[in-house]
Amino acid sequence: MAEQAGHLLINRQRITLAAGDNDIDTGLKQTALNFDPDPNMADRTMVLPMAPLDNWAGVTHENPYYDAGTGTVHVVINNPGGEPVVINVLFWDPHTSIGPIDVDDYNVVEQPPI
Amino acid sequence: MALTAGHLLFSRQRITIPNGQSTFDTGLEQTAWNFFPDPELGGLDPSYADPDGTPSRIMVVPMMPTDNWAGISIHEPYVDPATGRVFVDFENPGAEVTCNVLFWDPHARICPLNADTYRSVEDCDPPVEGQSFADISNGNI
Repeated sequence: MAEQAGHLLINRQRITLAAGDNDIDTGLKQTALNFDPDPNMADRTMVLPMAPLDNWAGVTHENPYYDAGTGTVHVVINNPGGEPVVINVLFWDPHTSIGPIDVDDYNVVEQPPI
Repeated sequence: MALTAGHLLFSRQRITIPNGQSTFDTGLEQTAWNFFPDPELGGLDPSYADPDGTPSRIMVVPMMPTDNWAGISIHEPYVDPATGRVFVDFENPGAEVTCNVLFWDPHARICPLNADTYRSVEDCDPPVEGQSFADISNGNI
């Protein structure tokens, strides 16, 4: 993992999701750059599904959160299937882009079941 | 294609993927920026030869309509030594389909980055005997 030039802000991972909730460490950390009042780091973390999208069928995730123990952003990803599935996902903190950021919650609790 | 300010780092393309395996030129090239030891632009061989060997930092981001991505998978991006650009092999088990895709090299961001390979050895088909890079590049496979 390359962190010599600063905190990790882009991390593409291939992860295996067990059935149910999986707490995933994105590896992303707070950068020293700040464009107040941007969303806080956990909220602005982008969780981008990548191919093969079939493996994302039914998969949902909660809003990312900051884990004080590791100093990194975590996200809980739910796999409703009974079997483990491997997904490619891009975790991205866009804070070093030269521009402000706005985000809504990822929360899907209020969405009707499929 | 806009290359005035440097090498191409973003390329959103509308690509038509035939049934089977096909190769696409992302148009992305190495930038002079470097945050060693960030992931490489890509290995020099098609990924199925060594899917766990060289994670490419190129992001292949599916874009809408995502329904068209059903069944589509990709191999690890790799550098074509002839052109110096990054190529990606797609697998389409179904009928020909058109997809929108963003190829993105995040290297010019002011931060380090990390990448796993997109596929593992376990989920890759073994290379076909007699298959060569040239065959793939020429669309013969």
